[in-house]
Amino acid sequence: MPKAPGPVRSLLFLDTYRLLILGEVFDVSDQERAYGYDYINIVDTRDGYTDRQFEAIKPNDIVQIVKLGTGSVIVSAEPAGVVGWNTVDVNALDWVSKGIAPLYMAAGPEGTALLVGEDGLSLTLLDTKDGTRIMSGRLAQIAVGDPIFFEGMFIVPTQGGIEILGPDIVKVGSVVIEGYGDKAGILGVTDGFYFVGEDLVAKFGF
Amino acid sequence: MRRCWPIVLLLFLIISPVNAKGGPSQAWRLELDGIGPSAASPSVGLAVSSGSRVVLVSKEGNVKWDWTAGDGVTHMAFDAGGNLYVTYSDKLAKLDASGTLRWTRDTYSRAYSLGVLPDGRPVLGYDKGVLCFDEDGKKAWEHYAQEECDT
Repeated sequence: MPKAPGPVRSLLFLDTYRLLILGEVFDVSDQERAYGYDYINIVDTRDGYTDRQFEAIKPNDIVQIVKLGTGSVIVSAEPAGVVGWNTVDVNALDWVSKGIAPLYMAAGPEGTALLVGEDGLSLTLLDTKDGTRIMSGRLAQIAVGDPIFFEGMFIVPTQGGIEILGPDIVKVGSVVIEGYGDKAGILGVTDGFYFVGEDLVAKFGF
Repeated sequence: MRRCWPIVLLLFLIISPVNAKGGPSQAWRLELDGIGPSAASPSVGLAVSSGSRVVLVSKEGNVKWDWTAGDGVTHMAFDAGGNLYVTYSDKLAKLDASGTLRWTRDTYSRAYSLGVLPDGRPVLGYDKGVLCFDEDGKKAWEHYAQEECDT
Protein backbone atom coordinates (compact mmCIF):
# COMPACT_ATOMS: atom_id res chain seq x y z
CA MET A 1 0.00 0.00 0.00
CA PRO A 2 1.49 3.43 -0.91
CA LYS A 3 2.72 5.37 2.06
CA ALA A 4 3.50 9.00 2.92
CA PRO A 5 5.23 10.74 5.80
CA GLY A 6 2.93 11.40 8.74
CA PRO A 7 3.14 13.57 11.86
CA VAL A 8 6.51 14.19 13.50
CA ARG A 9 5.61 13.73 17.13
CA SER A 10 8.92 14.14 18.89
CA LEU A 11 12.06 16.29 18.55
CA LEU A 12 15.28 15.68 20.43
CA PHE A 13 18.36 17.90 20.18
CA LEU A 14 21.53 15.83 20.12
CA ASP A 15 24.07 18.63 19.72
CA THR A 16 24.49 21.97 17.98
CA TYR A 17 23.73 20.78 14.46
CA ARG A 18 21.89 17.49 14.91
CA LEU A 19 18.19 17.13 15.59
CA LEU A 20 16.65 13.71 16.08
CA ILE A 21 13.07 13.45 14.87
CA LEU A 22 10.48 10.73 15.45
CA GLY A 23 7.86 10.48 12.76
CA GLU A 24 4.94 8.33 11.78
CA VAL A 25 4.02 7.00 8.34
CA PHE A 26 0.54 7.05 6.86
CA ASP A 27 -1.15 4.78 4.35
CA VAL A 28 -2.06 7.09 1.50
CA SER A 29 -5.31 5.38 0.57
CA ASP A 30 -7.07 5.55 3.92
CA GLN A 31 -5.03 8.32 5.61
CA GLU A 32 -4.56 6.16 8.67
CA ARG A 33 -1.35 5.64 10.57
CA ALA A 34 0.65 2.66 9.30
CA TYR A 35 1.57 0.87 12.52
CA GLY A 36 5.03 -0.62 12.54
CA TYR A 37 6.49 2.07 10.28
CA ASP A 38 7.58 4.73 12.75
CA TYR A 39 10.90 6.23 11.77
CA ILE A 40 13.77 8.09 13.40
CA ASN A 41 15.96 10.43 11.38
CA ILE A 42 18.76 12.73 12.40
CA VAL A 43 18.40 16.06 10.64
CA ASP A 44 21.17 18.60 10.05
CA THR A 45 19.78 21.78 11.61
CA ARG A 46 21.69 23.99 9.18
CA ASP A 47 19.69 22.92 6.15
CA GLY A 48 17.08 20.36 7.20
CA TYR A 49 18.59 17.45 5.28
CA THR A 50 18.73 13.93 6.65
CA ASP A 51 22.10 13.14 8.20
CA ARG A 52 21.40 9.59 9.37
CA GLN A 53 18.56 7.12 9.75
CA PHE A 54 17.80 4.66 12.53
CA GLU A 55 17.79 1.17 11.08
CA ALA A 56 18.40 -1.02 14.15
CA ILE A 57 14.91 -2.43 14.29
CA LYS A 58 12.11 -2.70 11.77
CA PRO A 59 9.20 -2.85 11.88
CA ASN A 60 8.59 -0.88 15.02
CA ASP A 61 6.22 1.35 16.92
CA ILE A 62 8.36 3.78 18.87
CA VAL A 63 7.20 4.54 22.38
CA GLN A 64 9.88 6.89 23.68
CA ILE A 65 13.39 8.16 22.97
CA VAL A 66 15.79 9.33 25.65
CA LYS A 67 19.08 11.09 25.02
CA LEU A 68 22.00 9.65 26.96
CA GLY A 69 24.62 12.04 25.61
CA THR A 70 25.47 13.75 22.35
CA GLY A 71 26.37 10.41 20.79
CA SER A 72 23.77 7.95 21.96
CA VAL A 73 20.10 7.44 22.69
CA ILE A 74 17.91 4.65 23.96
CA VAL A 75 14.69 3.87 22.16
CA SER A 76 11.73 1.96 23.56
CA ALA A 77 9.63 0.26 20.93
CA GLU A 78 7.03 -2.44 20.38
CA PRO A 79 7.75 -5.24 19.88
CA ALA A 80 11.54 -4.84 20.16
CA GLY A 81 11.84 -3.62 23.77
CA VAL A 82 14.66 -1.19 24.53
CA VAL A 83 17.28 -0.42 21.92
CA GLY A 84 20.59 1.36 22.35
CA TRP A 85 21.70 3.40 19.35
CA ASN A 86 25.03 5.11 18.77
CA THR A 87 24.03 8.17 16.76
CA VAL A 88 27.59 9.09 15.75
CA ASP A 89 29.64 6.02 14.90
CA VAL A 90 27.99 4.13 12.04
CA ASN A 91 30.11 1.06 12.81
CA ALA A 92 29.21 0.95 16.49
CA LEU A 93 27.27 -2.04 17.71
CA ASP A 94 23.73 -1.24 18.72
CA TRP A 95 22.01 -3.48 21.23
CA VAL A 96 18.48 -4.65 21.85
CA SER A 97 17.16 -5.55 25.30
CA LYS A 98 14.12 -7.63 24.41
CA GLY A 99 10.96 -7.35 26.44
CA ILE A 100 7.90 -5.21 26.85
CA ALA A 101 8.60 -1.55 26.27
CA PRO A 102 8.79 0.36 29.56
CA LEU A 103 6.20 2.94 30.47
CA TYR A 104 8.79 5.64 31.20
CA MET A 105 12.55 6.06 30.85
CA ALA A 106 15.13 8.53 32.10
CA ALA A 107 18.86 8.91 31.56
CA GLY A 108 20.82 8.37 34.76
CA PRO A 109 24.39 8.95 35.85
CA GLU A 110 27.16 7.92 33.48
CA GLY A 111 26.26 4.73 31.63
CA THR A 112 22.89 4.07 33.23
CA ALA A 113 19.20 4.64 32.62
CA LEU A 114 16.09 4.18 34.74
CA LEU A 115 13.19 2.21 33.25
CA VAL A 116 9.71 2.17 34.79
CA GLY A 117 7.87 -0.99 33.78
CA GLU A 118 4.45 -1.17 32.21
CA ASP A 119 2.86 -1.68 35.65
CA GLY A 120 4.15 1.78 36.62
CA LEU A 121 5.81 0.31 39.72
CA SER A 122 8.70 -1.93 38.73
CA LEU A 123 12.07 -0.27 38.24
CA THR A 124 15.14 -1.35 36.31
CA LEU A 125 18.51 0.34 36.30
CA LEU A 126 19.96 -0.40 32.89
CA ASP A 127 23.61 -0.47 31.84
CA THR A 128 23.42 1.58 28.66
CA LYS A 129 26.68 0.21 27.26
CA ASP A 130 25.15 -3.18 26.53
CA GLY A 131 21.53 -3.12 27.69
CA THR A 132 22.00 -5.41 30.68
CA ARG A 133 20.16 -4.98 33.95
CA ILE A 134 22.24 -3.63 36.84
CA MET A 135 19.54 -3.84 39.50
CA SER A 136 15.81 -3.84 40.05
CA GLY A 137 13.54 -1.96 42.41
CA ARG A 138 9.98 -0.94 43.01
CA LEU A 139 8.15 2.32 43.56
CA ALA A 140 5.79 2.67 46.51
CA GLN A 141 3.14 4.24 44.27
CA ILE A 142 2.43 4.12 40.55
CA ALA A 143 4.41 6.50 38.34
CA VAL A 144 2.32 9.07 36.47
CA GLY A 145 4.96 10.70 34.27
CA ASP A 146 8.55 10.69 33.10
CA PRO A 147 11.24 10.73 35.79
CA ILE A 148 14.25 13.02 35.54
CA PHE A 149 17.75 12.67 36.95
CA PHE A 150 18.50 15.86 38.84
CA GLU A 151 21.11 16.80 41.44
CA GLY A 152 22.27 13.20 41.69
CA MET A 153 18.80 11.74 42.21
CA PHE A 154 15.94 10.34 40.18
CA ILE A 155 12.79 12.42 40.70
CA VAL A 156 9.69 10.33 39.88
CA PRO A 157 6.16 11.77 39.78
CA THR A 158 3.77 9.25 41.30
CA GLN A 159 0.13 8.98 42.30
CA GLY A 160 1.07 10.17 45.78
CA GLY A 161 3.36 12.98 44.75
CA ILE A 162 7.08 12.54 44.22
CA GLU A 163 9.43 9.70 45.03
CA ILE A 164 13.15 10.44 45.24
CA LEU A 165 15.56 7.65 44.31
CA GLY A 166 19.31 7.56 44.62
CA PRO A 167 21.47 6.72 41.59
CA ASP A 168 21.20 3.08 42.70
CA ILE A 169 17.36 3.43 42.47
CA VAL A 170 16.97 2.97 46.23
CA LYS A 171 14.31 5.27 47.66
CA VAL A 172 15.80 8.14 49.64
CA GLY A 173 12.79 10.38 50.13
CA SER A 174 9.29 11.36 49.11
CA VAL A 175 6.97 14.33 48.96
CA VAL A 176 3.22 14.00 49.36
CA ILE A 177 1.29 16.12 46.85
CA GLU A 178 -2.48 15.82 46.75
CA GLY A 179 -5.09 17.17 44.40
CA TYR A 180 -3.00 17.52 41.27
CA GLY A 181 -5.04 15.20 38.99
CA ASP A 182 -4.03 11.96 37.28
CA LYS A 183 -0.89 12.86 35.32
CA ALA A 184 2.15 14.92 36.19
CA GLY A 185 5.47 15.97 34.76
CA ILE A 186 8.75 17.18 36.19
CA LEU A 187 10.62 20.08 34.57
CA GLY A 188 14.15 20.63 35.80
CA VAL A 189 15.73 24.10 35.94
CA THR A 190 19.00 25.33 37.39
CA ASP A 191 17.70 26.15 40.87
CA GLY A 192 15.23 23.29 41.34
CA PHE A 193 12.39 21.65 39.49
CA TYR A 194 8.74 22.23 38.73
CA PHE A 195 6.07 19.64 39.42
CA VAL A 196 3.27 20.16 36.87
CA GLY A 197 0.04 18.30 37.49
CA GLU A 198 -3.35 18.70 35.86
CA ASP A 199 -4.64 21.14 38.48
CA LEU A 200 -1.53 22.24 40.34
CA VAL A 201 2.02 23.41 39.78
CA ALA A 202 4.70 23.60 42.44
CA LYS A 203 8.36 24.48 42.57
CA PHE A 204 10.90 22.58 44.63
CA GLY A 205 14.49 23.27 45.56
CA PHE A 206 17.15 21.45 47.49
CA MET B 1 -13.37 18.56 28.82
CA ARG B 2 -11.05 21.02 30.43
CA ARG B 3 -12.44 23.82 32.54
CA CYS B 4 -11.64 27.36 31.53
CA TRP B 5 -9.76 29.60 33.88
CA PRO B 6 -11.93 32.46 35.04
CA ILE B 7 -9.37 35.24 35.26
CA VAL B 8 -5.86 35.32 36.51
CA LEU B 9 -6.91 37.30 39.59
CA LEU B 10 -8.90 34.33 40.74
CA LEU B 11 -5.86 32.13 40.80
CA PHE B 12 -4.70 31.71 44.31
CA LEU B 13 -1.25 31.14 45.57
CA ILE B 14 -0.79 28.72 48.39
CA ILE B 15 2.43 28.62 50.30
CA SER B 16 2.16 25.55 52.44
CA PRO B 17 4.42 22.94 53.95
CA VAL B 18 4.45 19.45 52.52
CA ASN B 19 5.14 16.07 53.95
CA ALA B 20 8.74 15.89 52.92
CA LYS B 21 10.82 12.94 54.04
CA GLY B 22 14.40 13.66 53.21
CA GLY B 23 13.55 15.10 49.83
CA PRO B 24 13.41 18.51 48.21
CA SER B 25 11.64 21.43 49.85
CA GLN B 26 8.66 23.15 48.30
CA ALA B 27 9.21 26.79 47.39
CA TRP B 28 5.69 27.57 46.25
CA ARG B 29 2.54 25.97 44.94
CA LEU B 30 -0.14 27.31 42.62
CA GLU B 31 -3.51 25.70 42.03
CA LEU B 32 -4.91 26.13 38.53
CA ASP B 33 -7.67 24.34 36.64
CA GLY B 34 -7.04 22.12 33.64
CA ILE B 35 -3.33 22.57 33.05
CA GLY B 36 -2.17 21.61 29.58
CA PRO B 37 1.25 21.96 27.93
CA SER B 38 3.87 23.77 29.98
CA ALA B 39 7.48 24.91 29.58
CA ALA B 40 10.19 26.01 31.98
CA SER B 41 12.92 28.61 31.61
CA PRO B 42 15.79 28.93 34.10
CA SER B 43 15.74 32.70 33.73
CA VAL B 44 12.06 33.52 33.34
CA GLY B 45 10.03 30.90 35.21
CA LEU B 46 7.25 28.54 34.23
CA ALA B 47 4.72 28.97 31.43
CA VAL B 48 1.55 26.95 31.87
CA SER B 49 -1.45 26.71 29.58
CA SER B 50 -5.08 25.80 29.98
CA GLY B 51 -7.13 25.68 26.84
CA SER B 52 -6.13 28.79 24.91
CA ARG B 53 -4.71 30.68 27.93
CA VAL B 54 -1.05 30.98 28.70
CA VAL B 55 0.15 32.21 32.11
CA LEU B 56 3.73 33.03 33.00
CA VAL B 57 4.62 32.28 36.62
CA SER B 58 7.90 33.76 37.82
CA LYS B 59 10.59 31.71 39.54
CA GLU B 60 9.25 33.10 42.79
CA GLY B 61 5.70 31.92 42.11
CA ASN B 62 4.13 35.22 41.03
CA VAL B 63 1.86 35.47 37.99
CA LYS B 64 3.63 37.95 35.68
CA TRP B 65 1.43 38.00 32.61
CA ASP B 66 -1.13 36.04 30.64
CA TRP B 67 -1.95 35.76 26.98
CA THR B 68 -4.76 34.14 25.04
CA ALA B 69 -4.09 32.19 21.86
CA GLY B 70 -6.61 31.84 19.05
CA ASP B 71 -7.26 28.20 19.96
CA GLY B 72 -6.19 25.51 22.38
CA VAL B 73 -2.45 25.54 23.06
CA THR B 74 -0.72 22.33 21.91
CA HIS B 75 2.96 22.97 22.74
CA MET B 76 5.22 25.56 24.34
CA ALA B 77 9.00 26.03 24.46
CA PHE B 78 11.36 28.75 25.70
CA ASP B 79 14.53 29.92 24.01
CA ALA B 80 17.60 30.84 26.05
CA GLY B 81 16.61 34.51 26.01
CA GLY B 82 13.28 33.88 27.70
CA ASN B 83 11.15 34.22 24.55
CA LEU B 84 8.25 31.78 24.52
CA TYR B 85 7.07 29.90 21.43
CA VAL B 86 3.49 28.65 21.47
CA THR B 87 1.65 26.45 18.98
CA TYR B 88 -2.12 26.37 18.58
CA SER B 89 -4.37 25.42 15.67
CA ASP B 90 -2.06 25.69 12.62
CA LYS B 91 -0.08 28.60 14.07
CA LEU B 92 3.23 29.29 15.76
CA ALA B 93 3.42 32.41 17.95
CA LYS B 94 6.44 34.09 19.50
CA LEU B 95 6.02 36.01 22.77
CA ASP B 96 8.86 37.93 24.34
CA ALA B 97 9.80 37.62 27.99
CA SER B 98 7.27 40.31 28.94
CA GLY B 99 4.42 38.48 27.21
CA THR B 100 4.24 40.75 24.16
CA LEU B 101 3.29 38.99 20.94
CA ARG B 102 6.15 39.40 18.43
CA TRP B 103 4.76 37.42 15.50
CA THR B 104 2.61 34.49 14.39
CA ARG B 105 3.19 32.17 11.44
CA ASP B 106 1.23 29.47 9.62
CA THR B 107 2.49 25.92 10.12
CA TYR B 108 0.55 23.92 7.44
CA SER B 109 -1.21 21.82 10.10
CA ARG B 110 -1.44 21.56 13.87
CA ALA B 111 1.93 21.04 15.54
CA TYR B 112 2.76 17.61 16.93
CA SER B 113 5.99 18.68 18.62
CA LEU B 114 7.95 21.86 19.29
CA GLY B 115 11.46 22.77 20.35
CA VAL B 116 14.09 25.50 20.12
CA LEU B 117 17.49 24.85 18.57
CA PRO B 118 20.63 25.81 20.50
CA ASP B 119 20.97 28.82 18.20
CA GLY B 120 17.52 30.07 19.19
CA ARG B 121 15.50 29.04 16.13
CA PRO B 122 12.15 27.33 16.74
CA VAL B 123 11.43 23.97 15.07
CA LEU B 124 8.15 22.11 15.04
CA GLY B 125 6.85 18.79 13.82
CA TYR B 126 3.77 19.13 11.65
CA ASP B 127 1.64 16.49 9.94
CA LYS B 128 4.22 15.57 7.27
CA GLY B 129 7.61 16.69 8.51
CA VAL B 130 9.52 19.41 10.33
CA LEU B 131 9.52 23.19 9.91
CA CYS B 132 12.29 25.48 11.13
CA PHE B 133 11.91 29.26 11.38
CA ASP B 134 14.47 31.90 12.15
CA GLU B 135 14.03 34.15 15.17
CA ASP B 136 12.21 36.74 13.06
CA GLY B 137 9.68 34.21 11.84
CA LYS B 138 11.06 33.58 8.36
CA LYS B 139 10.98 29.94 7.29
CA ALA B 140 14.56 28.61 7.38
CA TRP B 141 14.03 25.06 6.12
CA GLU B 142 11.58 22.22 5.89
CA HIS B 143 12.24 18.51 6.34
CA TYR B 144 9.98 16.10 4.49
CA ALA B 145 10.91 12.46 5.11
CA GLN B 146 10.00 11.03 1.72
CA GLU B 147 12.87 8.54 1.94
CA GLU B 148 10.90 6.63 4.55
CA CYS B 149 8.18 5.86 2.04
CA ASP B 150 10.10 4.94 -1.10
CA THR B 151 10.19 1.23 -0.38
